[in-house]
Amino acid sequence: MKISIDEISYQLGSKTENISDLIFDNPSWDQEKIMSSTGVEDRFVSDKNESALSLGVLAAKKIDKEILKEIDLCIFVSQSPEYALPTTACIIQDRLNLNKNCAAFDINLGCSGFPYALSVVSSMLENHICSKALIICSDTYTKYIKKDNRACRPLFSDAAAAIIVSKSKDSKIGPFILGTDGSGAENLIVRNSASNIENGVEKTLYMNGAEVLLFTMSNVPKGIRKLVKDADLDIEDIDMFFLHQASKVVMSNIQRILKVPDSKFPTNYEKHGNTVSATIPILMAQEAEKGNLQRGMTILLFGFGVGYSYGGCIVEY
Amino acid sequence: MLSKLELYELVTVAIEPERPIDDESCGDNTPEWDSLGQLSILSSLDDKTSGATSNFDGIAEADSIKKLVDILNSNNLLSED
Repeated sequence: MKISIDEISYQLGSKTENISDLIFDNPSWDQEKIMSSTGVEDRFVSDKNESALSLGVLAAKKIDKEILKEIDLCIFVSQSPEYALPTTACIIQDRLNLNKNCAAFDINLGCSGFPYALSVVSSMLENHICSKALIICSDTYTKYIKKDNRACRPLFSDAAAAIIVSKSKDSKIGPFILGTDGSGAENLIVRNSASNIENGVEKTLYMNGAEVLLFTMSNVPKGIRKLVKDADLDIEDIDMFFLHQASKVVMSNIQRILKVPDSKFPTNYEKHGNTVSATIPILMAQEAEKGNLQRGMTILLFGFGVGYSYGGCIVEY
Repeated sequence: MLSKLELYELVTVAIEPERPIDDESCGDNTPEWDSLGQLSILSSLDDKTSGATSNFDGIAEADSIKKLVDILNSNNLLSED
């Protein structure tokens, strides 16, 4: 069955933080060195009244109301849930006034979340469980990050993307590749959270950048090559690569290893930072707005990170 | 394979230290060899060894020439000259 990504909208956190703001807060940090590693100039930070839920709802409200009326599957991809329970997707169903015959559930994944959600939607569409899906990828990692956290604060940014996926005559999604290496769980983690709360200790995001970089260099190019092979394609047959926008050092290494030209390897981490599972759909929306991403193209999506987890797919857009 | 001198050169280009890199260089005595510098060294090693080093145990925490030499030696990637 053919399936298409019909529409993407997005909402960024309301506050903008520049690299200079970080240096103002932390005068001992070396701006040039941070920039050469992260490549991130500007990031978006949610206000205290904003959450992954509110950003996600705002992103979805940019979609035509008539389309929202047809939604019968809503998936919320996030690691910043509104509550431990109930499921945030259920609250979204109500806030967006979606049909009550709409299936709604969360997927707790970070940077690999969008390809995973697409794989679930594809299966449910193919099995006639639903006919039109709304995926919302939204996170507010900055709420887990202290002002002096040099590993995380220069990178992560808050945003949501809303994506409509439905059955199609022309487009196709797949094959997929999904993978996990839970031995890396401790290398990107919010400590003191969920069932591991220590009284009086703040929730904080910890990242071992060196270990995460090694994971990406070892696994992402290999996964992309396997995905392309599974689709009976060569790397050169892919018109555009939409990869999770982790950071400059990660992106440049993957591009170097795969030998993909800049023209096929768009980035937006420079002006948006790492918006976790929303990076891929936001980048797609922006490249479509610029006219670079066009219908009929063969594109590759690949997300990777916290877990460790990775997922990717080929899209005949 | 790379020589010790090539390893010095690789680390020098990666982190641009003020004092020359030698056998004793490490994160504690080379301010440029911090966590961001380590990312740069790991990237350069991956490039130089066609991805081999990124699979080596302990390489992420190898923040000294001695530790890098030990890991490269134990994986037969360091030449005598």
